[in-house]
Amino acid sequence: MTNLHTKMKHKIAQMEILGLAIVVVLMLVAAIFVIRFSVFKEPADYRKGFVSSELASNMINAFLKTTAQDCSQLTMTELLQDCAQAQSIRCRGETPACSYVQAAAGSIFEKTLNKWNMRYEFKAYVDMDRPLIRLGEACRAEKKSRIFPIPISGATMQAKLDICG
Amino acid sequence: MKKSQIQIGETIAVLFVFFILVAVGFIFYAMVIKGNIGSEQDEASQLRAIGIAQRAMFLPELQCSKDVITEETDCIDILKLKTAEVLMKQRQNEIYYYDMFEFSEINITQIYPQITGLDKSQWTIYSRKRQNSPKFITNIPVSLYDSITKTYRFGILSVETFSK
Amino acid sequence: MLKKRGMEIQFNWIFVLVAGAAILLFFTSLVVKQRGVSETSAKATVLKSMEAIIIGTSVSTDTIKTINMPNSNIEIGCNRVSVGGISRQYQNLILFAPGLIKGNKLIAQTLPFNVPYKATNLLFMTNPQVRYIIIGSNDFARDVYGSLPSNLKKEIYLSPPAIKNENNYKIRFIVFDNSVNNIDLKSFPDSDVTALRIIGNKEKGTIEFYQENENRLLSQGQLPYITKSALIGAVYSDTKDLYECSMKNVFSRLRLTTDIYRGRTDKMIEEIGRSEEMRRSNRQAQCNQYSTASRELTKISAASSVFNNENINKISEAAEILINANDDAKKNSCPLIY
Repeated sequence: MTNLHTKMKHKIAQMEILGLAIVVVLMLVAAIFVIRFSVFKEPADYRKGFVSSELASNMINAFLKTTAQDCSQLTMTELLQDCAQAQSIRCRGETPACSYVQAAAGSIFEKTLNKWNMRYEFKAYVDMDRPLIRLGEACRAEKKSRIFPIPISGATMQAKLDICG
Repeated sequence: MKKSQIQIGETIAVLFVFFILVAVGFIFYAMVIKGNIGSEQDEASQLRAIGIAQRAMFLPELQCSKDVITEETDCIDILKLKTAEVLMKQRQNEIYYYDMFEFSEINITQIYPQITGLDKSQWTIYSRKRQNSPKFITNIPVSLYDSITKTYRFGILSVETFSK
Repeated sequence: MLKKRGMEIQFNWIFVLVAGAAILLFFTSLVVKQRGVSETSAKATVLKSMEAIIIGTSVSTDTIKTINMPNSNIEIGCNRVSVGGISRQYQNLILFAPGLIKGNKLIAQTLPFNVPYKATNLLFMTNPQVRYIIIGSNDFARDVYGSLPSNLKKEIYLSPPAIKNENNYKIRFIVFDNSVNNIDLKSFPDSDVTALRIIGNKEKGTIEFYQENENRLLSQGQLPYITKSALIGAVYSDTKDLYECSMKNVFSRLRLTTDIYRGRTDKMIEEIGRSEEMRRSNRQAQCNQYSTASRELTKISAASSVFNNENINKISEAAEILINANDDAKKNSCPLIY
């Protein structure tokens, strides 16, 4: 009888300890979840979204509006139109419009996108497979794109800027 | 007597362990909250930087205008810029603009065509720096409009915001 | 032995009750405190969102946005926005809104303040639960009605009608004639009723603010307005003080922008005088509007130091002259004044 009583007491004590152990284990599991989803959560990067969404658009808009230096005050848009059509305009006496725009774009992107360590690809084309102007390298992964249509006679030219990342 | 003492001791021990667990939980919760506050502060700094950049981009003191009807976005009038560079730095106006721009620096740089000679290619319209403070730099391409020659140049509006 | 056992059980239960009560009290106080902290945190989030909305919306012109948000009571004061007990102070807040915005939707509208160049954007805010009742028979009344967002609760009548109570927490009457005192307020015992009487036209005029007091609309005073945008601001602001506060901030902004335009005009005079191209094309003589423009801009800058009727008239006159000078410059292909 005494043996049975002692055995029962041990069993009760064991049950109580087990109960405490279960509580501790449950708390540890909850803590792991909290650590995983709360502490190691990546902070939201609002600036990156804001900057990248505006950058391609602003860059190409500003570039196309820019007046070419030493080229009868024509804009880059007008030079691109000539590049896609007659190719009759000569800047600084001898440089064709296509080469002039390519050089100007290269210079601008060198001082901006390259300086900020941003990879990009700039293309101006009527036929996508045969671009008239191409700068930079094609983006492999994520990119933010802006396409600007430029009307020319009988077709539409596209000026496209992809900013990678 | 001894049995009840053991019983009481047992109950007190359980309660003691329980409160230790609660205390550990609390410390853990406080650490998580502290981490969240840090991350929220960072997000708030970013949002503030975006707000300041937006205000700088759309400042009527700089924006190009062609009469009332059309208004060009991402365009800065060079003559307005030259005037703003002087006026916005006057003491009474600096205080006014602090509410808008807080601790930041706003520069406009002409990239194309390249400036030669004595002409200026960079204008700082607002500057209130904070030492030893992390900063965000937002670069926005803009057109710089010369209303005399009616031509556009390529420039960068650079907004450097210093977080608290 | 039996007695000891009985005592033991009783003591055990007392101990359980005391310990249990202590634990429950502890956790209950924790929960209550945490609830308070969460509520404060939610209010702070709403306030942060309001700040972002104010900045983001103010930079764009001619926009109307409907914004969903948590059910809140947002109090708008002079240079101050509060949610619950938490407020955010501003130095020069340009926001025209009712004193209290309740609910889970916010309607935000922006219009440019042009005198005649854009000085700033005016930001208006309200909520679909506020009811706007316009009373007027002229084109101006219809124009103001049309300028308000379509998702606003707005109605237009030729004369004060028998208006049904729709349980709106705020009702605003916009009256274009003398019928303010003919408005029957008995149907709106639970609403905050205000009125605005407009005497003027699209360019400028006077507005009179009214507040409900014992079923009658009592005048709070008169203020001037200039441009339709500022008048729309008065439609949204339900108190004279709020409107006046925002207009003073608008005038501060106007002074700064005008000084920039004046500096620009002075620089233009210099540059045109020096310009080889202008001299070659004989346009220097045609492009002579800038001295007049500079003078008028100086008048506007001086008049924008104080918001009052006299200065509004001065600004209005100077603006007329500037419009003509700018049109002249446009006709002669000269650089525009604004």
